[in-house]
Amino acid sequence: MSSIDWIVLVGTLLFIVVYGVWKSRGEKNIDDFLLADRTMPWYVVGISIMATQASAITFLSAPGQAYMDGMRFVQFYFGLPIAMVILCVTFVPIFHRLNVYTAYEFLEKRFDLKTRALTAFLFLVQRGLACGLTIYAPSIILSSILGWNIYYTNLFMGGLVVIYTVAGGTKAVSITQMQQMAVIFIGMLMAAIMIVYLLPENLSFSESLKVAGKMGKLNVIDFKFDLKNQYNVWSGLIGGLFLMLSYFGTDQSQVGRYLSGKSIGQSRLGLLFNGVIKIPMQFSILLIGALLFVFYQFHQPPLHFNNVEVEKINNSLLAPEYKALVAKNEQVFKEKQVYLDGLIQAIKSGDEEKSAAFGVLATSKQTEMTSLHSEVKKLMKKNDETAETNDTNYVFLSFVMRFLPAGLIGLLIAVIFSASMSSTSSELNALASTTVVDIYKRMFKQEGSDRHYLVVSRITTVLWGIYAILVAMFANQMGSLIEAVNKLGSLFYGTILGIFVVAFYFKRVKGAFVFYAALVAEAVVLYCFWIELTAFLWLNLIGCAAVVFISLILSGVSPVRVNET
Amino acid sequence: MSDQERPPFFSTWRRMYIAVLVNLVLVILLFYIFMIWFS
Repeated sequence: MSSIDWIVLVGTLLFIVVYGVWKSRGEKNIDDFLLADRTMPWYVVGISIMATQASAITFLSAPGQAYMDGMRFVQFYFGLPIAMVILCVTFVPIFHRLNVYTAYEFLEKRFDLKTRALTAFLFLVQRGLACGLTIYAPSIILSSILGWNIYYTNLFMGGLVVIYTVAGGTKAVSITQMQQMAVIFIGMLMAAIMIVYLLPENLSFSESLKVAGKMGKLNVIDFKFDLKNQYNVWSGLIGGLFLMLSYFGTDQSQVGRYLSGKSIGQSRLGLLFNGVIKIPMQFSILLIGALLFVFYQFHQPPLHFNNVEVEKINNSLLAPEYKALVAKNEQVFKEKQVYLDGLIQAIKSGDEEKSAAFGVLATSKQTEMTSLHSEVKKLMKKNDETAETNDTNYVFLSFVMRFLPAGLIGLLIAVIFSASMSSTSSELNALASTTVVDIYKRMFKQEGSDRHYLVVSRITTVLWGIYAILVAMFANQMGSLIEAVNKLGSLFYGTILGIFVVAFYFKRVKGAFVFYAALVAEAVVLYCFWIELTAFLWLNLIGCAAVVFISLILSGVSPVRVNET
Repeated sequence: MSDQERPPFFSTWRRMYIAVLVNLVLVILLFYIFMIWFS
């Protein structure tokens, strides 16, 4: 990186941290620290919700995913607006009226302490690990591409977040998220403009989209119902709905965002804002990936985007095999140009038949390149069992480093940092809230002063920050465990949502029933996961439905109910 | 905390929710047209 990139990067990050600390300065109480005194307007709530969900991986991975697999991933978010409406109708008014600090506090009011403790514990375990990975995931990519020391990168990223989250609590988190989202928006817009600018001069924007479309990268909608297919309209609308309901309704890192709204109406508007903006935002990020694909039709792409792994294979005994694959890749790329020329001419002349035919031919050459890409991945694994062969997350940043001018590179790295910090800060804040409110205050010290809980909240935030940084430090030694941890949330979300659904909609069901129903439902979900019964999104529905169904059966056959009626 | 706050642009929350859901349908429809148009 050039010195101007460093100035842009460090300047942007320091400005965000200093501004956040300064704007949230002043005397605080526990209400202020954990929920910003419930004074946030709707747009701050809405942006905070979006910033919490969009981690660095969102911006690194999504363009790469569109490059490799097309834009179909956007369907994953189709259940989100429906989830926002359901939350506005059910969760928000109840949480606000009960004046709770955390979602789990409500469960004790409705059921009992053990149900509250179980859900709070599941959240702490899952989110604590996930918070470490929120720091680790962009760090490993930045360190691979830029050659930075991963430990210092983790420490720098995590340390900055801890500073302002401890100093200003929820208010600082929300204020910095506004700045971070502004940086992300400007950075991604500049990247999109640069990609379009770098496309061949004889190709208009609309023609570029046609090239992407003819080569199957604009596969935004798939109406075919298929339980094994992760991304189609139905898995997005149904499976996605349950995942989003679980995440936004029961994960404290999100619940804490909208509980900071100054009224029920402001919290609702924040959620609905997210419901309207999120899908177009995700579509835009994926479109950047599709345009990147078009760009790489005319510029020779590397056979593999992860330079560290490329260097490893280049310095191994398998280097001759690798070089042969590279040469073959370059040969296929050149052959593809003939078909691409034909495709462009056909698009320009409006000849649909010819453009379809050339599209098929160009796609067949692209498929050959994809096969070579798969072969090189196998070669990397053969050379080193632990090699990170999935380079989807490296596609976008690799482009940024190779083709963007000085200054913009710094801005795009600031985007990655901002996205990671915005998610991490909400997670730390939520982990501290749950630890203090649901565990410490409820089980160990019920009669403390406001000042005491404020100090404990700050200490807890620091401790969770240290824990997250430590998880990030050791994450590269966890191997395939990382993937398991990433899936952990989805394995538990359905069950937790089921507990909340029973709490809201089935007033007759008592705490003991839902507690045991949750344990059985969790076993069912784990079994379904084990036998790979369905695509991942559907597990959320299965977990939720199992809790509701089993708790209704238990309460139906229970003598308690008989006595009551 | 009051639940009576009215939403902007719409007279009731119910209408606001319907607008969000209609927007979702329109977005899916637009994406479909986008896909067909450029493919």
